[in-house]
Amino acid sequence: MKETGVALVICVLAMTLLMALGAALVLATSTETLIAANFRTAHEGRYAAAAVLERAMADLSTIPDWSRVLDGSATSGFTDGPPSGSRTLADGVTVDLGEVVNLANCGRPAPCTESQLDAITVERPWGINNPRWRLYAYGELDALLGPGNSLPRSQYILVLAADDQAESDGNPLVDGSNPGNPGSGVIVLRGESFGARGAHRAYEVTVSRGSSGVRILSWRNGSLP
Amino acid sequence: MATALMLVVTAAVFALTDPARSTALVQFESTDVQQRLRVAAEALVRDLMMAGAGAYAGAQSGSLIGWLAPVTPYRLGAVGADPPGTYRSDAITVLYVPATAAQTTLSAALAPGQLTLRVNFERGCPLNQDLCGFTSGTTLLVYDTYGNSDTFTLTSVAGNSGQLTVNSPGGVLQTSYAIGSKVVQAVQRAYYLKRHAILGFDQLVYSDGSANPEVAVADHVVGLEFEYYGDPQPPGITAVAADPVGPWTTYGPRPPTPDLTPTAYPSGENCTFTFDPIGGGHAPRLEVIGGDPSRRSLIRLSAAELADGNVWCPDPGAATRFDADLLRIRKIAVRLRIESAIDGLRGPAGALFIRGGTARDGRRFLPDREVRFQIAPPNLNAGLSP
Repeated sequence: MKETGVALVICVLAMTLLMALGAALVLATSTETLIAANFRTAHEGRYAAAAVLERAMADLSTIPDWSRVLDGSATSGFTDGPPSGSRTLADGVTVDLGEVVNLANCGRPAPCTESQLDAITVERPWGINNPRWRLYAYGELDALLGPGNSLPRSQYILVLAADDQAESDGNPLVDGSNPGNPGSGVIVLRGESFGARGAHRAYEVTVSRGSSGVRILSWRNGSLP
Repeated sequence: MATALMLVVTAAVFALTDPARSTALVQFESTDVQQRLRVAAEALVRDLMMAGAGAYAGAQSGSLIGWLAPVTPYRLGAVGADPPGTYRSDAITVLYVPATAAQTTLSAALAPGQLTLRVNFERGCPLNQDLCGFTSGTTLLVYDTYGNSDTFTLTSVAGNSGQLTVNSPGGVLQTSYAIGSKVVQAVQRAYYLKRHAILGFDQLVYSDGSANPEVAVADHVVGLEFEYYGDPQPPGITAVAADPVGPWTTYGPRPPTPDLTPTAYPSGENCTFTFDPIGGGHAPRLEVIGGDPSRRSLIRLSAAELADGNVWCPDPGAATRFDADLLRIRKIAVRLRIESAIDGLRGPAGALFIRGGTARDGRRFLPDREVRFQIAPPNLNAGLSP
């Protein structure tokens, strides 16, 4: 019986088996590396969103009239240009500031109409007192931390400001000032971070004026569009 | 000759693939262990970060530590609750108010046997929704200014009223809540380990405080430990009682005015403050922990301090009483350890493995993975301290 080539067949089979094992191993380890990287980025984003909120609150304590924050005429010292357009980080992450604001205001990336802003929905059930988010602080995390930080990748961070849900003046661009208004001296800040591979985190903070500056009434997880 | 050659090559192939098979098996399971560890840590971080978040619309707004203990080192809820004064290093219950429009006050009192919810329509309640937006199945927190609190599950809604069940053992409400008490949507999470009835390993589970079955978070958890760090200083007064906004204290419920006796403590006093009728001032009932009255940094709170019951809030006779030192908690340290689900990848019990397995070859060892982290919930650390 002719047996020429049998060894070759066996070698090919063995190599195929080993290659399959090796490929599965590479796939498993690379997937694990990717999951770990996403987990790390998500946690960095959590801290980044918290950091920009802390910065915004510090700046807010220096503004005597919070209506100027609500109508967009006063912003934090932490900005990187006009409050519009796209920003692209060094690793390719792009953030469109207009879309971020529109998503917060009416749940869609396109500019919101007045009726959409005042629509009563599950997320925004206050009609004409619905919050109208404005950019208050925005920029790269590197700019906030300063040179020499050890983050491997940067994040884009921003804070939106709006009037609180207990407002009764019917004007979401003015912080109520009459004594009977339960929303007087209270506004809401929303800190967001955008990182690599779609990482996105948000916190919301309701703050009021306290005797010694800004007082945090509530710090909570923000919903994401 | 060819047969011999084939046998030699086949043997070599098996010799090569056997360790590779072990490596592959360990690697796949390692990924699974890591992922279970991440899921468990993420769940704990998410809830611990929010611990103590309070109402943010209307009266009694601000961190819950101004009213009650939002972090307890034991289980609370309708099922499996530990009694007041318990300390368990492997269980924790946190309470917080999530992002919600359902924040208002009672328009009808709640009392034992009287569990119909009626609320005021306050500014901030959602328009065009009954009962300030509270919906069936929601967890509610009701609390007053004296340190009383209970969580409920809203079982049904009919127009502007709803029916409640109490999330406490026996389902019996033992405290009365007057008109004007705060009522908000809340999240209660009790994390603990539970032995799987059939497979025999421990799962990290959480309960939402109701009679609903607990939710499994991660399997094969062999270590869960919580430690607590807190404010060594007793609470202080920050605003007069007549101040309409507050905060009135650095933490804990504000003392009543001298003409009121809302708890078992003497007139003008509560669990955190005594009252001097001659001098007319309030003084803290709690002591300095560690003996240094100038210390501002956090101090480790021992099991004895958190469970000795030296001072109970709202008073020693309350069904929902808690050790007043629980109001001091500002930071929680967590240790979480997870094992391989495959017995054949766990070696003998010891430093590497809490639960021994059947593996005896080091190439098949997949040691337990452990992570430690600390969470300082923002709502326990902001807004109340001067």
